[in-house]
Amino acid sequence: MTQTNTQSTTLPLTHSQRLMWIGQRVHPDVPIYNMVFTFTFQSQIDTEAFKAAFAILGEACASLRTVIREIDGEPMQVILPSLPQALEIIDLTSEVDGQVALSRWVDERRTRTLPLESCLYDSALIRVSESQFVWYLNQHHLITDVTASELIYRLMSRLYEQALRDEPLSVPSLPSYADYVAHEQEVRTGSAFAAAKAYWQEYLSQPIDLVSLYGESGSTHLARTERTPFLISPEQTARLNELATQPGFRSFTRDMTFANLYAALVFAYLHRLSGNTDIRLGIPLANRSTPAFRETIAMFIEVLSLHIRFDPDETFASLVRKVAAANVRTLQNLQPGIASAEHHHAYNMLLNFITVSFAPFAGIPTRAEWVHSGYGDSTDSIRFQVHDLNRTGQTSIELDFNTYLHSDVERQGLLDQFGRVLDACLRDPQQPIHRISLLTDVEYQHNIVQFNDTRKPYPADQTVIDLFEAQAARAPDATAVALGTTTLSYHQLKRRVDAFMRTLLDLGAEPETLIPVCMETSIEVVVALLAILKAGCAYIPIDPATPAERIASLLEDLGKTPIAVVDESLAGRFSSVGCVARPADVDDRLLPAVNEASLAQPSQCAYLIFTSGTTGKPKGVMVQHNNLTSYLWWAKRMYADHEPTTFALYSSLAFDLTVTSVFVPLISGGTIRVYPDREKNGLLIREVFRDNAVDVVKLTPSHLALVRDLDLAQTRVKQLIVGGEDFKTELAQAIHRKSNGQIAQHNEYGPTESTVACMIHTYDPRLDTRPSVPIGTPSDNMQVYILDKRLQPTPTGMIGEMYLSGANIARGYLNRPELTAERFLDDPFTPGQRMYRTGDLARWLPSGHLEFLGRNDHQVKVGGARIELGEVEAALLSHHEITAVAVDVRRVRQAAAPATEEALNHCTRCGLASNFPGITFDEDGVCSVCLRYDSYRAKAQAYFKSMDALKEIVERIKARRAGEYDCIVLFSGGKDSAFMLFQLVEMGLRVLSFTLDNGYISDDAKANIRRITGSLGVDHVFATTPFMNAIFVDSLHHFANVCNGCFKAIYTLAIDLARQKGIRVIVTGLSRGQFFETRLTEELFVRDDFDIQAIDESIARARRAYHQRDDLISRSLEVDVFRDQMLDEIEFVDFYRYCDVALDEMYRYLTARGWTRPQDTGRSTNCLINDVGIYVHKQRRGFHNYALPYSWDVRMGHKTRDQAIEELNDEIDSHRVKRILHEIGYEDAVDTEAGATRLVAYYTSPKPIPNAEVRDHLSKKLTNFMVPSHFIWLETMPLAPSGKVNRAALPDIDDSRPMSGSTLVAPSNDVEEAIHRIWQEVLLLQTISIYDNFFDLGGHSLPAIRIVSRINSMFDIDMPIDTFFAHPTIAQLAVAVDEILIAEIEALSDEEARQLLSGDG
Amino acid sequence: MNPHEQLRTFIEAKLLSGGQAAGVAYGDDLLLSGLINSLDVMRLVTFTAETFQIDIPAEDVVIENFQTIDAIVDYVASRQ
Repeated sequence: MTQTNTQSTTLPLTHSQRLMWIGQRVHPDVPIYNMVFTFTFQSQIDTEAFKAAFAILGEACASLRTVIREIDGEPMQVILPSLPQALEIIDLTSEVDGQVALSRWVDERRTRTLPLESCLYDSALIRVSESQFVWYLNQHHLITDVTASELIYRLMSRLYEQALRDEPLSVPSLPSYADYVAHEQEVRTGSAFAAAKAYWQEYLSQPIDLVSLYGESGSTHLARTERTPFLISPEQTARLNELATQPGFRSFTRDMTFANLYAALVFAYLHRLSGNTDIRLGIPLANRSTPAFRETIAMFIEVLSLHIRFDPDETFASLVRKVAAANVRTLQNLQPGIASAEHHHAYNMLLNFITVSFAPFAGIPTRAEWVHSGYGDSTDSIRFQVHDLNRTGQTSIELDFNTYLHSDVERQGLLDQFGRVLDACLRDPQQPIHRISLLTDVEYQHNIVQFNDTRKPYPADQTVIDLFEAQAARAPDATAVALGTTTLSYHQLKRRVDAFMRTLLDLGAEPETLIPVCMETSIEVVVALLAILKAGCAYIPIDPATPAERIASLLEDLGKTPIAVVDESLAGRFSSVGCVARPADVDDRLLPAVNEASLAQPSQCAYLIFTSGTTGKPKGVMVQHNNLTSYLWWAKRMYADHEPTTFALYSSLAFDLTVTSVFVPLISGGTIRVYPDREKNGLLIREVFRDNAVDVVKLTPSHLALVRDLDLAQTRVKQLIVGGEDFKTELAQAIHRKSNGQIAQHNEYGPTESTVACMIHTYDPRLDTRPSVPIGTPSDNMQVYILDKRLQPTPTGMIGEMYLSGANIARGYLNRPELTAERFLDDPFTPGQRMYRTGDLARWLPSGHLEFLGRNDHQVKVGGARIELGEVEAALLSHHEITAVAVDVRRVRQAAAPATEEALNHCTRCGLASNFPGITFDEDGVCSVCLRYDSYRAKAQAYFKSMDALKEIVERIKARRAGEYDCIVLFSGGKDSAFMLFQLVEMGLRVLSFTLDNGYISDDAKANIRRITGSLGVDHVFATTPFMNAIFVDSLHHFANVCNGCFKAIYTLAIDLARQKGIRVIVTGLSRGQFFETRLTEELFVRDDFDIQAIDESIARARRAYHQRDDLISRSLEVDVFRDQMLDEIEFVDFYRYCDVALDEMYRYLTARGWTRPQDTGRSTNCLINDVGIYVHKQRRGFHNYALPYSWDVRMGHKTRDQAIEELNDEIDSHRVKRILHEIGYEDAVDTEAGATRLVAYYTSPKPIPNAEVRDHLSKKLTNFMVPSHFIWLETMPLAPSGKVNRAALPDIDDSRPMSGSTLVAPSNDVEEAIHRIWQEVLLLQTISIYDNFFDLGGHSLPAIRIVSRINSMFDIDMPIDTFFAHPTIAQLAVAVDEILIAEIEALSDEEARQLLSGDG
Repeated sequence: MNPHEQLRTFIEAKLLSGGQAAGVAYGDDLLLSGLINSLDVMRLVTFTAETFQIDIPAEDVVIENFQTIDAIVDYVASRQ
């Protein structure tokens, strides 16, 4: 027998192991790194021999005996003397179906997490039948890679053979991982490593967009993945093998050749689907650089990435060459320990290309299978698994989809499209990748052909005038137009039209003369339009509300304008026009009975409408008669085909939605009912419904929202034609309910360039459940395509742009040939037709329906996340009180920070600078904080206690000892907490030391922590959370610093840990200066009834309320401790309340015990992100966030004034700060003048709703990043004359009320005003609305105490702090204060009250 | 030592371990043998660049330039 070691040996982790260890710690309960193999033997296996072989395997193979334990706070690999777990023998032969039982067994087993500290493998031999055995081997990736698995397998095979032959089993000697660990440490100091590090730093300094497929966000923190096989055909495999031998494709080794080919395929696919031109693909590489390392059973993986920049006409062939070169660069810069967490975040797609050979096991035919654990790194959206495990030549391709990012249905689509790209690349490597069709034949038939099969005969050679006159001839006495009791028959209308046409011709009108029309809605305007058209001219509708300057500039654009048709009152604005005219409002019998022939031609321009362009300059869309006829003929069929129909004409002619209301009735024998806008209050639409005299109303959703409160049960309106904006399902539902389903609601879609509309969907309350009502299908003779950036049709799921083609497509833009050429293209599917590029996004749903996703610019990115504004709007609208909404992305004006260049004064005593808000100085230059402190210094001193008092507490703790530890000590590694830790251990407490590793703790600080806890023999916990970056960002938004978020995370996690371990005391090392900053405020001391116990209680209450608040931290840390009684049960002890030690003495003490000052951070911190907080705070608030605490340090005698000033003047490396801001995802440039971008929600409701309530409502429906940061209540939604939301008129926001919103509402009574002033002073904010939530303004427990104290002394009441937290707005608080005052008055005796009221009391 | 010899010495000493070290001919296919893996190729490229003091762009690291000792020498000449 071999001799057995009885000692464990330890080894540091390699850099890659450390990354993986952290990854596992982030997901402690998720088997992301389980490497599970099953080896199926088609033969009998000798169980005893197998067991014996496995035992020897374990002796030989240190990796199986390796576990990871934290020693002195540092993860170490510990090699145990013997295998921690024996091979299990499983017998499934009694199962009815062995195969089913086997897969069930494996399925259950593969997801078991392997305990890092005790055993990193799980293995069993399973007897499925007499002739089939399966060896199950699951190893944690920390101790293995695929090569290592292959080595283990081979060794096991050899040992088993020996065991079978009854040979004495000797333990083979294997190369040790310790050599690689040493090698890595040595290499890291060399020049090659430095060069590689520089290379990757440069590489990573170019930020690129992560790949987003189907518009998902591209990243998540959920690690569940689904492995989906892609079936590559034998022909495709053959083609791949053939390419692999060709010059230009073939590389040095077979593996390299195929690695390049598969990587190129994945790149082509990702490029084709996302449209991204810069893509990174993660690749794990085994860095087995020497023959010995090749034989070492351990983990050698470095995960790096390839970066490809696509050229416009990239082909598969050119791509392979690029990939090969990128691979060379990567391999040349592959060094042990070169992978980094930063690199890990630089890609979100990964290719795992693996070829190994699991040869027959001891001569038995064997099938190896890599079983997916069901989880993978959450940062990867898709992991492409390309494996050849059995050297069969048939490589398996599987895609591990993150299931959070990719739903079932989408996965199938993505897989199909991968197949199409692969097939096309292999078939013709020379074709440009952008030309690869992603559509199946069925999809092409449906999306392009059938969907657009809309040909219908229409009178293309007739104009609207011809159609109108045909009606007039058919039924001359029918009512054509009515206003109040005035009506005109078709015959009368025609006479007036002819008469005015004559006038126009006499004034010099010629074919296609452009005639501006600026008139109030009236009968005459109908006459004018028809007359202009009949004269062969085109009208340009101008809204009477248009400002004079804009009219002037429009006229200037038009050039020479001979005639305008204008109301008298507006004529002054058209002085530059040759002449103005207006149809006379006269009895038609007085008109000459002329009978003019129509001069209108189908190819002539009929009207020109100015629309606002994205660039701000309006563009004039020229619509021809044949376009108009096409639309009208279809609209007539849709809305007015069966009986004479009355349409309401109320909306501005300047918008083409009104075209429907004017012309559809006139060509179908119906009636126009005119509603002049007399009140001009935006509520005309309500009059239309109240009047109840029309059958059809055309309107925008914003208009519709204005009538949702009306009773529509008895309405005459049968049809609503809704257009111009996204039509929310919620609104349609409301109208449906109000009208008992009697009104058909048609959602019309189409830009002016497609003549009013070209798509339609009639709302169906049963089927339409998505946030927006669909836009449906194309109208007659129109085609709609969804195309990618290269004009290729998009397959199901993929987001593309909508293009419109067909008979409605307008001529183009007036005098804008370049813009016309850019937006009006040749239709590639119907030669000879032109198509219009809308700028609207859409995609095909698996159901075959088109999903409209809104304007290009309605899909926005905030903080790196893609957000669909419409979705947020729909979620808001589902709140029962909200009536109308608009969500927008706004650049937030930074609250003006005072100019910093100005020379600062510093308090002559404490050094506090003059830029600190609200500070004043006396004639000796002493600041107001110092002066006020003078007045309560003695009281404040009384708050502090002696070490004897601490000893009493310690004894009390010891006396009720239970469990392993007496207390948790919050140990940052800094001097104060280090000193405290030493003292507490000396006092005999059994402590658990706790540090939050926020990702930016300096190495030196960590070394201190390990050294000290090690030397004291104290157990230590480094807590981490994957949400740290989100917490930083949240903290920066709320508090303009990083520390608040970090502190709350520390307390939260520490309390959680205390709960888990049953610990009841937490000791903090807050310095006395920090006491005054965070706990003790002057308000506490100035009270007459000064009482230390009362102070303690109010601090405790404030702390509890603060921690119980449901915010980002408590939500993301998923810690529910604050809801149970934990906070009451845990006692907080502030060490420095008892201990007062001079700084010099503290340093002397610490230095003697091995504590050193960190050299790798700024001088006064352990934390590398601290500077970021300082930088942002200075930018946003205009002063240093340490100014106040340092001044307290000076007052407490723990720093000198000069030290404080000097430290506050430390230079901040703004490049580093910006890099970290980018790293943590705070991407809004804090330093741009334009400000940061925020998602802002505007809404109307009967009265403002507390932000917290709206936010809660939204967080039930939307993912976190989609919830707006600002909510602004509006009394009415501003509407443009078009009836759409006037986004430009939505109020701007600024950041002085961070996370807040609602329009600024000023205090309206004395109580509110007083409270308002207190808030301003305490929160250091100028602009506060009475509806702002205290927490949204960055409030926490300290300001709460201060505010309550001030309110209490001002009103002479005794409001508890809980009342404050229950009423966290000024408005609510004022009510609460009133109630207290009233209760007090009521409690007075009559006599007292009389005295009080009479004023002589 | 001429370039051919320098390369041969490096390949035999550093890339081919153990018994296979003897006698690599200048025209032998270094890669078909399967003895050299991708990391070895990178070492060969680095050695070539350093020894002959040339810059070798990643795009040139293709089989045509590194298949045989002859090919490497030709490539080096084209870069000098």
